[in-house]
Amino acid sequence: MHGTQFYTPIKIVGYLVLALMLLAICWGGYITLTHWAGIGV
Amino acid sequence: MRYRSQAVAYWYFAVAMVLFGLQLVFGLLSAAKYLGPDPLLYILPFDVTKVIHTNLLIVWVLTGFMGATYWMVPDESRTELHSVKLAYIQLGLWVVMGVTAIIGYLFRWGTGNKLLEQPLPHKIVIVIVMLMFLYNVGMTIKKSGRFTTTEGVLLLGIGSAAVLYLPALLHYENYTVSIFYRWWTIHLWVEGVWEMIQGGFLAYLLIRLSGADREVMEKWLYVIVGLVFFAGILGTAHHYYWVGVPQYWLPIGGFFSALEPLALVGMAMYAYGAMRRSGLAHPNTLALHWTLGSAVFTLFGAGLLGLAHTWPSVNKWTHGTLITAMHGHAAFYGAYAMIVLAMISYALPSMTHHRREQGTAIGYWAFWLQLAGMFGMTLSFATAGIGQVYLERILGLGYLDTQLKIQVHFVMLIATASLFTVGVALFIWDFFRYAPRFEVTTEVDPDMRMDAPPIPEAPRLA
Repeated sequence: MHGTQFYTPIKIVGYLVLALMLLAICWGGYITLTHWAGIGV
Repeated sequence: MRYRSQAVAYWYFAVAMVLFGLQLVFGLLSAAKYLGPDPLLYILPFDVTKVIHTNLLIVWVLTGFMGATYWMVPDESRTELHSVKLAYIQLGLWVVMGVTAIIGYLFRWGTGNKLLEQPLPHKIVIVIVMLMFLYNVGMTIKKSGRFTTTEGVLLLGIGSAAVLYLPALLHYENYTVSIFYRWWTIHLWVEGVWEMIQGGFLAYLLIRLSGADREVMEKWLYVIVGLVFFAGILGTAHHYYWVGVPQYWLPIGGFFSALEPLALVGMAMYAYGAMRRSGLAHPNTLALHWTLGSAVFTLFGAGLLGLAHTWPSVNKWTHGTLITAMHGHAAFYGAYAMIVLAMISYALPSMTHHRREQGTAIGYWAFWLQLAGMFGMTLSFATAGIGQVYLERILGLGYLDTQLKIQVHFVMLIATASLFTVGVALFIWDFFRYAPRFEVTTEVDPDMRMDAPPIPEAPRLA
């Protein structure tokens, strides 16, 4: 009844979300380094 | 875990974790756009990423509230849940609603009503889910006949949250009227009845984690609820200052919203007092970190930072600027994210294999990184907001010219948001790395300890 068989699928979804979070951090870093025009524009 | 049906909570928490992670993805995408030009402008523009960011927040926090309630009510009422099947059907409906709403936002399917963008079919599903939830919780309590003040406050909060969602179903052509009623849902949720939900969880956790008397803790809970009602209801008027309603809302909003921090001061004093008086009575110190952290961060984010810009003569300069984002991030995180994470940290050791009761090292890293990250994000929004108010509202610079001048604060925002994201990622990883076990154990109910003071006879329900 308590669906322990769903543990692995939701764990995989959770880890995919972790990968997306890492990607989002990298995206923030990439935009900062390549697009930010600097202080005092 | 003292009741088998408490296992339902695990799946609610698991869904909440996934949605929490996704919320941060869209938050970081939104923040990066302030440093543009944005390469994703035509795929994921700011309005889309921001709507998804805020909606995911509401959905994951509500999912966490539901899971925490399904954990707490059997414990408090000393019985199994009325219907486990209904709880899982509810979760299934909720997830389908949430996922289709997010996909819909990507294709601009929404009402455009800020924070209540859900299309009407989704809103109807939300109402159905809330009714199923209330029925299940209500029947569980009725079946047991044991109804504690702590769960009474929680139930009042959840029931009122459901009722207050009804104005969100209405549509008005007139923008002022639409905004007027929108705040009945949004404000009365987050600065009213959700605080009661937080108060209910806080009392439950403090009773179980500290050695505090239930009777004393529950008396304090009445004081907090009273203060929430006293200041929070008419405090709604601080959203009415500049929306086209009569002028008398200004003094009403200013006075009552200035009193709103009182309940939050009470909540922080309540938590501190419980620990000081009674000390620690449970090995789970990580859950205690989240519990006390929630009370203190709520006072900082919701209380002090809310007070900082709620007075009409200040708010006329700051409304709609990044000062609001400063307050919103710290308040929501402290009051609602942290209390859900506290409930998860408390419940998890008894629902999973091999997890240390006092919390894992990764769990503590998650706590401190999140706290440091959110504090940094709050300061970034604050410094950007102060610059924005001065340049845009006082000197009269254009919106985009101002945004260029304050870009440096967004570099700081992205850096601290990344730190926060690492903290959340560690929490999610720590959540999923141990498999669930769902075995009923014979933990001692704090009310049943030999040294516990006698509690009054619980009222019997009809």
